[in-house]
Amino acid sequence: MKRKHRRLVLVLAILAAVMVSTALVLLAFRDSLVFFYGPTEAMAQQIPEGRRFRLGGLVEQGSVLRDSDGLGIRFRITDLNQQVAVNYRGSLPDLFREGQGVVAEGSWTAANLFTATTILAKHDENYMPKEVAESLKNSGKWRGAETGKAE
Amino acid sequence: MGNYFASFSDFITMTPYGAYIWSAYGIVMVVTLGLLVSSQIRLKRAIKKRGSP
Amino acid sequence: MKQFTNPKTIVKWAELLQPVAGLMAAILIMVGLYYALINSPADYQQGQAVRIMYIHVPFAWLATMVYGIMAVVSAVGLIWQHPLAHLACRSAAPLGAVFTALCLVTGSIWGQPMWGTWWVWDARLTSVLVLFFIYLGYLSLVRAFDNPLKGEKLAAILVLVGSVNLPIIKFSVDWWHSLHQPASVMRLGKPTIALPMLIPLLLMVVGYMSFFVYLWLMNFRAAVMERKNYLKEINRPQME
Repeated sequence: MKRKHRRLVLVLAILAAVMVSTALVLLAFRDSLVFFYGPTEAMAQQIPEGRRFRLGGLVEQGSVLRDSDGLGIRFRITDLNQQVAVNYRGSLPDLFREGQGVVAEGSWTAANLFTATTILAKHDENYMPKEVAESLKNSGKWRGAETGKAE
Repeated sequence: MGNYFASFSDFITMTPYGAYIWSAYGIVMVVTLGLLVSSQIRLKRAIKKRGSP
Repeated sequence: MKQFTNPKTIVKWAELLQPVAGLMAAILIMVGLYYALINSPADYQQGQAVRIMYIHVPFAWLATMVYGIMAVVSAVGLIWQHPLAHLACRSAAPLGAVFTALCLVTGSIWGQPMWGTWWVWDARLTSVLVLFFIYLGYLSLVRAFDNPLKGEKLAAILVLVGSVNLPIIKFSVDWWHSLHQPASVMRLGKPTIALPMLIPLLLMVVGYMSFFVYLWLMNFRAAVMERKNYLKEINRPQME
């Protein structure tokens, strides 16, 4: 084997070894690599009350109720399969709205009741002017989070 | 002010995100100029040095 | 093949292409800024804040693209030992580091009003921060030796090992739940960005890619001259 070929094989072997070991590490830690659990996962995980975690999904259409003092808010987070009721007091990001993605940080405080201490908005990969969004909705071609599955 | 802003002040304030937008563009433009100037100085220096033995 | 890999030919091409890339960058970024700031609509959800995308995405793409280029030329340098490959790599590295920093800073400025936070430790943001540290690691390693040839060789190995991070960055938003949204343009199927917003985005992306090529060729030419001087110095007979 020529020296050049030996170096080529060596470089490829090192790359393959690094890739395989990284993949194994990522697989081993995949639970801590997710930023949040969806409602279905969060319910299946049996997380004890009081332990903090992040719950993410869509703010269910029509579920938002604001307290009369304007600070407290109640809504449901859905993954279009399961829903979790969420309580929160504090300021909301500008993108928080019904039908949009959201990540709440907090813990279970009762069966199927999540009390959040931080709310982050998650936006999707769709960008368009307001007029386009409206005409898509009017023509029934809308395929965003509000009517169907979040892509 | 084009088709998308009602007035010049509307353009400047970019309600309500003007501060975020202008600071982001400001940082990028300053760094862009910095890269441009520093790279040109380095090349000029290298060319000058090549001339002398 | 030999005639294309001749160092003299490569430097000549660099001299020729550099002003072309510079001119392209100047025009595209000027026009791109006009579209990004003035002649494009607000987003239906994000309002005017969508304009930050036009300077965030170019640097996000460049951060990974520059690293990919560094990985390729490092492999060429290690395997075929082309005399200019490592110089091409170290000329690109500071640019890649600065672009990654700009990606992180503009992303943070965008995240605060939209997501409600400057920073989160989700898979996308964290893997890009790791990329930034790999750039810094390369830059310090490549300068750590008295003999630059030795430093370049070791640093090239670091670049190759670190390239495992590139697919992690790209697919982090698909593999794990993250706060960052999935890809809008570099995806299977049509882009999910409306045309009047795609125009400023692509202008800025191609503009800054040309800007990178311009700076890279300029740094590369300077590095070649500096290397020639250095080799002349060390080969000069010592006079005591």
